[in-house]
Amino acid sequence: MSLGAPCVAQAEGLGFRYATSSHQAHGREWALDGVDLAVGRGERVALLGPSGAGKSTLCRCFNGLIPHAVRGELAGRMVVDGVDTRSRKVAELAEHAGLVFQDFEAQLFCPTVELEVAFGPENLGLPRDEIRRRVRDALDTLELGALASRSIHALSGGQKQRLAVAAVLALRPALLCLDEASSDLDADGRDRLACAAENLARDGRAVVVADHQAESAGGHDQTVLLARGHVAWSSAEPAPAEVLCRMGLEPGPMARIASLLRLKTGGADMDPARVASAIRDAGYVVRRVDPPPSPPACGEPVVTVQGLSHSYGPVRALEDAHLVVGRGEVVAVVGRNGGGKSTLLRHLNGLIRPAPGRVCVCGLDVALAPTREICSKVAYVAQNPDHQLFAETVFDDVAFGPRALGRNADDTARHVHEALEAVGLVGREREDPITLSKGDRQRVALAGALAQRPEVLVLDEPTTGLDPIEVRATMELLRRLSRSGVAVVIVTHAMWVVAEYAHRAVVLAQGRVQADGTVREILGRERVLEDAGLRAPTVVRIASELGISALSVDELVSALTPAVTP
Amino acid sequence: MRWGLYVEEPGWLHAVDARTKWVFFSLGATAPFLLADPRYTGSALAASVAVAVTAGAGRNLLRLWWLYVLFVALTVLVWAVVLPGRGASGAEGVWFGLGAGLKVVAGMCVGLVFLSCTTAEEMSRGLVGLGVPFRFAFVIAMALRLVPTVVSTALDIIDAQRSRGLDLESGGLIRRARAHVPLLAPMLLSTLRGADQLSMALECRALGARRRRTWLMASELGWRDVAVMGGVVAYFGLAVALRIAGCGVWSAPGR
Repeated sequence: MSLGAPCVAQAEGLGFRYATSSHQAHGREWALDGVDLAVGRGERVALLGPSGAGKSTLCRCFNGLIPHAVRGELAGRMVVDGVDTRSRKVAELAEHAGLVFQDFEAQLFCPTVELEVAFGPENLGLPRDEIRRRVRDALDTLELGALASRSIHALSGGQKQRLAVAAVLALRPALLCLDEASSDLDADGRDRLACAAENLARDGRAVVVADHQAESAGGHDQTVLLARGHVAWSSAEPAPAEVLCRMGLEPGPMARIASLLRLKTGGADMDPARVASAIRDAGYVVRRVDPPPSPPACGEPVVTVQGLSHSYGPVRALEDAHLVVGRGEVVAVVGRNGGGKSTLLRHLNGLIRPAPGRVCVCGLDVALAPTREICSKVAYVAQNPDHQLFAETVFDDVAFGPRALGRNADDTARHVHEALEAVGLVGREREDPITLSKGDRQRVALAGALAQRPEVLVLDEPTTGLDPIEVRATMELLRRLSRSGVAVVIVTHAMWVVAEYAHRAVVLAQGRVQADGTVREILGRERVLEDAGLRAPTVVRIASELGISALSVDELVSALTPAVTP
Repeated sequence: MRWGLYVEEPGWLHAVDARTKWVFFSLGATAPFLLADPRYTGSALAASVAVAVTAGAGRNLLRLWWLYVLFVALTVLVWAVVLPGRGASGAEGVWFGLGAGLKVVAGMCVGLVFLSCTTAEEMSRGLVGLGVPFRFAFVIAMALRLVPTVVSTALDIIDAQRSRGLDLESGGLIRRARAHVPLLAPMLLSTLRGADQLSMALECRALGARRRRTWLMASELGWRDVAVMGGVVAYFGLAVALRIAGCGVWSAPGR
């Protein structure tokens, strides 16, 4: 907390241990242990850490969900806006601390934008004029004023997320906590949310943003790093790459650049132009302008989409889409929320039969081939792994696909073993998949798809909710698969994943393919990205400021050399 | 893709007060049950369909027409078998079954119109306006709101399992029933997690913070409310009068 700033939230020796079986992933260990933390008025705090570090647990302590709504053992105390959270009900604390979860759909229950925001003030029994005033202020802060009378079903994902924030904001809490609230958003949505957080802080409210990396948490005044329930770093300065590595965490790209090039910014500055300038000031010059050689050409086409269109009632989701994916190729489908990405994916394995248009996968016409035959060629991993896990053991769950496809017991056992080996879950065959962590559940879901021995693997947002180390592990696995000849098609918002792991990117906007090319080409077309609500990763933009093309920190650093002083 | 029944385009029933909508639903859905003769229950159904079409619920009616036809057919079939055993003829059974099926469908139609024109928020506001405690009213509205969410989740789960080769369409009844097992656990888990998150989200939005709750939207009865209430009361009164007069009421021999 900055000196002199009055304290809004203060944790003293805060600890929490989950009691229920739904949190078996945490075991009976302390999810939070001896946390001391102070958040000042008008301060923006980035609460960072890997999965299981205790970020969500701490967020739930701010507004009293812990200990009132989540069973477990609480140690120490949390005081928010002068109120000990143990002394009041969650509903009574809503005026002091507001919390927005990652799943914004679950937080919206009213028919229109205006009524959604009014719901909280109505519960406080405020006079109608005061409710109206609060609704207007909250909508203006989140730039939703023009949508007041719109149905929430007619909003985009980004608008819904901002609405969830506005709905909490109308309660006028002294502290607003966003728990991975931007992880499902496109760049545009994240920008608007970050801008709203800045406005709130300027307005005197404290804002806590929990996320996996500083880059995605937006601008902030204080960085708090959690690791295994402890505060591992708390400072106005971001945690240096060395500290993160020592704790087994992956440093973000800015921290890595600052560390490798020994920049004075220390990874705190997120602006590409200023970082590029700092790199020049540190005495680096461009050694190589040409990008590294492109990866070898991929094999023959295994997916061909021609003239594909699809509508949900009156809403056009896809319009004359074309796509070709080669054997061993990793293709990223990117674009704004609601741009038609998932609809395109669902055509590739026959979940939606193409009409009009044509989809051919491994020589099969998807409109005509039986579902089972398509599934033996194409495996699909849904965005939410919980939608496909059902068996009592990891083994049985992974074996479901091969068994359903009529493979014999020996083949099934072999395929399951190979799939579990690929995702690093060998030895955990007898565990109940439902009790695993989100990252492990995602891996079981992926293993289930791999056990089908597909020639094409289709994944809808496989990195959502995973920390950077888990994301890297998943993407390395997909890279290995593609090298063995499997074509991989992923939908993702994580542009750094696209930059580092995909061969090609396809930009979808309003159901149309706006651009299709190598990742380097696409990430260099700022206008196309901007129109689709996307933005190149920070590393790519820093490289662009320096006049070079680089897709990763390593590429960027290898293209630079210290200037030789005469 | 949305699975709710609420129609966004405003029709004449959208414009009335939430209390009027509850009165419309209560009396409108009950009236056909006072009659049994298919000529009268059929008229009630025709009136319900006309109301649905003019109120903007016609599209929902088209979505569910197969359910109504199936229901009438099954009712006719059941009564055609059951009633002759009680001393009536087969034709009388069919006639009685037709009357019973049509009156249930007429009531369902009114329910469909109500759901097509009333938001969850209006449902709870209307009930509170009629004297029902807020918590009870809110639970009813939330339960109705969750139906499309659960359906949507179920479809996502079916898609996820179909992608793994799940076949729900071939084989006998037992095989098909067993094929649904992989859908049950994720459904149950998703529903429980969703309910858990919903209850936390409601508390975070101060539900239950004060004894007294206020509303942004004013509840005022206008001429439209008077017209709708007058119409539905007259409709209900007519059904009561017909029943008292013995018209439209039909009993099979031996009943």
